[in-house]
Amino acid sequence: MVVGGSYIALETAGFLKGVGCDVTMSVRSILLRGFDQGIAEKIGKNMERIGVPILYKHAVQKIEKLEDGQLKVTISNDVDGSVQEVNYDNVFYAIGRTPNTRRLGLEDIGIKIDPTTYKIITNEQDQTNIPHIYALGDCALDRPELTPTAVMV
Amino acid sequence: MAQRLFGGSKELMDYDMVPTTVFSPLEYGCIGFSQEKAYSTFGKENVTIYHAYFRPFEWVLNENQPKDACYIKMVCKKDEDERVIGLHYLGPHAGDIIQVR
Repeated sequence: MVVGGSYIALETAGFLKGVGCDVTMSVRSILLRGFDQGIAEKIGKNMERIGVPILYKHAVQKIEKLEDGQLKVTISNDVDGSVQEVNYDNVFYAIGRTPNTRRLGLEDIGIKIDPTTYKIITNEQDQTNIPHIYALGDCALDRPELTPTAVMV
Repeated sequence: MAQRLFGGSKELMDYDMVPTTVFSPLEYGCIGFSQEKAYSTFGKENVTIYHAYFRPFEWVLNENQPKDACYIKMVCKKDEDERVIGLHYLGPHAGDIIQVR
């Protein structure tokens, strides 16, 4: 089971299906938040067409490891409140990432970090609040994530 | 940034219109505004959407492939002579198609 509706969730479910695994996706709200929703819907339909069922509006409540190593997953349906238990070999969570900015000692030198996302706050020149220290890429606030912007053309 | 710090450039990185691709089984490449974002930014009446289903040539001889899976959508701004402000491509090789140049 793959939990989440992000591109990572879709890509992971896709390649696992591609190598022959039975895969189900559990999606709490919508696929591909921030992307064009008309396209997201078509991607969802295509996942189901190739045999990856998507449990929309579902949330994982509990995961128990059974004696044979399987994982008993309790999933609730947020629409009608029903609960089901299904056994899976593996459960993958793809529900977002947090930059690992808190172990770098940035606060010791006074670099400002956004308190909700833990991302580093930069200006348009990619400078932090300490001008000779820069932050680039996914760790910087309001920058494209997992997207190569470094290609020089 | 390297050019700015060491090459004497003053040019800032332009983070607008960065193309990206979702490598789902049917790939999705996009750049610019989504339909929703264009509507909320400019108003529905100022946006034109052009869209089409298509069959990639490499699927033509394969009857198992659906006829309505691949899709392209173009988001245009009406008052700027229909300037394209968003492009969305759902189909094979999206990563190669929606790239910078």
